[in-house]
Amino acid sequence: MIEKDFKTENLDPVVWSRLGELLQIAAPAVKKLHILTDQHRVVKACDTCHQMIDINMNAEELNEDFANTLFSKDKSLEEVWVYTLEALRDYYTVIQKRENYERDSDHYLSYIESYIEQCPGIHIFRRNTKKKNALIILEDIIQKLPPESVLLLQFRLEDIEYFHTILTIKNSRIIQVETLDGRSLYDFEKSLELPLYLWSIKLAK
Amino acid sequence: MGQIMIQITKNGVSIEGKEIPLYSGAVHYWRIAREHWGDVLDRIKEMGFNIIETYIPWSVHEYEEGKYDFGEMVPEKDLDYFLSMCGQRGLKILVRPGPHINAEMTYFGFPEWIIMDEEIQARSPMGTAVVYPFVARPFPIPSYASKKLFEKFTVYYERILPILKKHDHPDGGIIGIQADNEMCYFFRDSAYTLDYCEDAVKQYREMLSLKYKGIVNLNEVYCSSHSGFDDIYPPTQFGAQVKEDLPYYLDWAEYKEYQVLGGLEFFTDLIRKSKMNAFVFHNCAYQNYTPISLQRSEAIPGMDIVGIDAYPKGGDSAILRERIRYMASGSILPFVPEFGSGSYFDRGYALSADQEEYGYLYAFMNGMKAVNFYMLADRDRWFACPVTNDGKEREPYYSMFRKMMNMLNSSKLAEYQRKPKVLLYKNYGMGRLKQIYSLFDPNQLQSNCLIQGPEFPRELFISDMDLGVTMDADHSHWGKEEWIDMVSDYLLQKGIDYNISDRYLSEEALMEYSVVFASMYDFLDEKEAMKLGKYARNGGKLIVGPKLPVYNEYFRKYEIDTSLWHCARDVDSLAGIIPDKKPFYWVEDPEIEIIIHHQDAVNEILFMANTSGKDKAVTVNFEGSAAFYGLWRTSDSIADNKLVAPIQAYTVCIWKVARGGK
Repeated sequence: MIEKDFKTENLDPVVWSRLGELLQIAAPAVKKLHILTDQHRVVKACDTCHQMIDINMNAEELNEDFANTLFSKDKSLEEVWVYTLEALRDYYTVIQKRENYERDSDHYLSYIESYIEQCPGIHIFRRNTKKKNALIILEDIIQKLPPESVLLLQFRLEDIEYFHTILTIKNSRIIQVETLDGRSLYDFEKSLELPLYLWSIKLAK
Repeated sequence: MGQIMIQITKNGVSIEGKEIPLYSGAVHYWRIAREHWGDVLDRIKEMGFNIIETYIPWSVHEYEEGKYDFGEMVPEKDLDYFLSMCGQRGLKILVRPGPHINAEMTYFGFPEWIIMDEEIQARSPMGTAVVYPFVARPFPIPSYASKKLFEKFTVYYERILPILKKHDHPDGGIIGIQADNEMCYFFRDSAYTLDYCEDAVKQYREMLSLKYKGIVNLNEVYCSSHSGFDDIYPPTQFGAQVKEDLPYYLDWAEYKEYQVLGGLEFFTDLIRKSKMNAFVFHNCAYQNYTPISLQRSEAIPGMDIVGIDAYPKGGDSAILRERIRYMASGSILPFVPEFGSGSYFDRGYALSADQEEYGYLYAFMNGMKAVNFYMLADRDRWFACPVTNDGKEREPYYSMFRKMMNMLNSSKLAEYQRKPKVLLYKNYGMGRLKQIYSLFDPNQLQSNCLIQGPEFPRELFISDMDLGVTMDADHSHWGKEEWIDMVSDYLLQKGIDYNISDRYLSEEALMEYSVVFASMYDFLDEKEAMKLGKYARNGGKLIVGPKLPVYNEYFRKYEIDTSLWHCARDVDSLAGIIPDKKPFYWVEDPEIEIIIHHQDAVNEILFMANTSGKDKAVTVNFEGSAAFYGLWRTSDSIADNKLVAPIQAYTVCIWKVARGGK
């Protein structure tokens, strides 16, 4: 979806400074518990707040029931990851192989996120279904547009525009990212050779 | 021997004997429409800059192996013309030909045919390439042990050299040239993430051979029976069983430093052999810990100056303070080769002009003497600069820069010196020990705010093996040490100004301090112990803690004379050793910091920073009378014994002061 030599220009400092916050809203950081095991026992456990957790259990007991027990005890906990060192090494071996460097970054991100779910020796338990990351959401929108077009993607908070970006799409791939940066939408649209589409998303307050 | 025409000095750069401050800013010519080059450069001049900086990206000019474009096909690639335009405006120039440039470019400025060459790629412990998951395209990290990389870059460098020579001082504006950029494994500075490629393993053995001067000596240290250096394979995870096993792992940490220094030596030598008159410089990304050493990098023959980049968050004080004070002790000219102005597109935010102003002035206050603002003009994948990519002012950034540059130039701030008499001496060896104590170093699958792949907490992989060697309580190898933090908090609270360094500070520079606080644990390199011992014997006050060393670098017991060393394990013992004397200017509020820079015995500049988010009215206490001349966010006044001044949240106030009231 993202052309490797895509351009990013005319970014309004105020508008574009909201990007980080917007991505947090789309996919907020969640508390995860990571459990490292060997073939038999829990070796160590640590959560994403860097708290070491003492779990004295056999590796085979770390199943969905166990995860659900943790979820009921800690309401802020969203995910439990269980893995061995060997499994992690296998994971990194696969995702860093030669063929991956031809992938677009959004495809690579999807790939490393999906492969971790399938990699033998790694088990992930979630309280809720995993949220799509922002790049995947964006790809869903772009697939609905003509392959040669310009998209004005706008996020509104009640009646106020919170964030916008303009994406030039060729061959269904993003080749340019910008904002209006002081230009009027009228003048901007007049300068375009491709059709302009507006996609507006209302943010919950 | 030819006359030196350009020289780095303690105040800036001397060109034909005329010293000018090194204040510069970045522009990327190939990312700005050629018709706007003039306007962009004019706006930069108007802000008060006399030096600009630009990369010369390899991937842009050698677009296919052996095929070059210097404006013949794409007008924006006309480097020669751009440098001529700078020269016409009287602008001096710093050039950065790479090969690594980052610049948010796909493949960080390396050509695709280089980055995809498997002979050039670094290797993970599993034998794969090592991914950098950049948003433009994930790519395999190249190895700085790769001889092929150096050969290929030399071809490119020789191709751009005629243009550089044409514009080299005194014929043109080039006064500085960078030897590579932020060299450090593409931010992967853990021990076991990389690099295990063939050239790296060969280089590792070469380092061992140079260090031990014979396999017998190595076997004695390692308690091993290798028949030759080719028998030795680098560790891919920590596996020591007894403390005598540690040298094998610590040598790997040392090799990671050796690879960086070797790469830097190569690029420095390449530039020096090309007989450019410009000074040679380098920038560390952010590390002041293994595998980076600013002092060792600056000591490379032919290298003139090395600095550390700064991209602070809004209101950041602690990180800036630490890095700038580290540079202030170890470099001839504390230089920030990239100080964020505006922001990379995938950072998620940009600082406001006020936040940027605070960071810059707080850095000057803490000893920064030279700076390159990165960037001054907007460009592809960068925003919120003081000049737009078509050469217009972008407010309020433009006005802030113009005002600040006017103050810096008119006050001659570069001629003033900050000279603290206290030094915090960090334990570089502890950084190495913490770095190697890992069972697995997962590569980071994140790149700024857009790529957030799976992440694994480092704490899980720290080895639990107890070798009877004290570890610092903070497990990160990236610079934090509990004892050092305790001492720095104490000094800040007392208003005592200090610098920061480590074992690579020269003996001569160490002797300039009256008091040195050195963190120590169970082991200390014998040469380092001798250096510190000499410092104490020469009258320096050496305060160490939390322990006294009992082992040398090979973890063999040794006896060192520590009779002149004061050991302080906690804050209470510090209070007993350091006299409770107030500095000349002092404030009661711990969130207000004060630092003095001196020009001579009479003239001084007083900096006051409000490190809090609250506006305050501050009473500055001193003895006698003094005249205060407002330089920044201040007004003139004459005061006796105390000065009451308002200071806004996260701002720096500056006065020129004449003690005695004249």
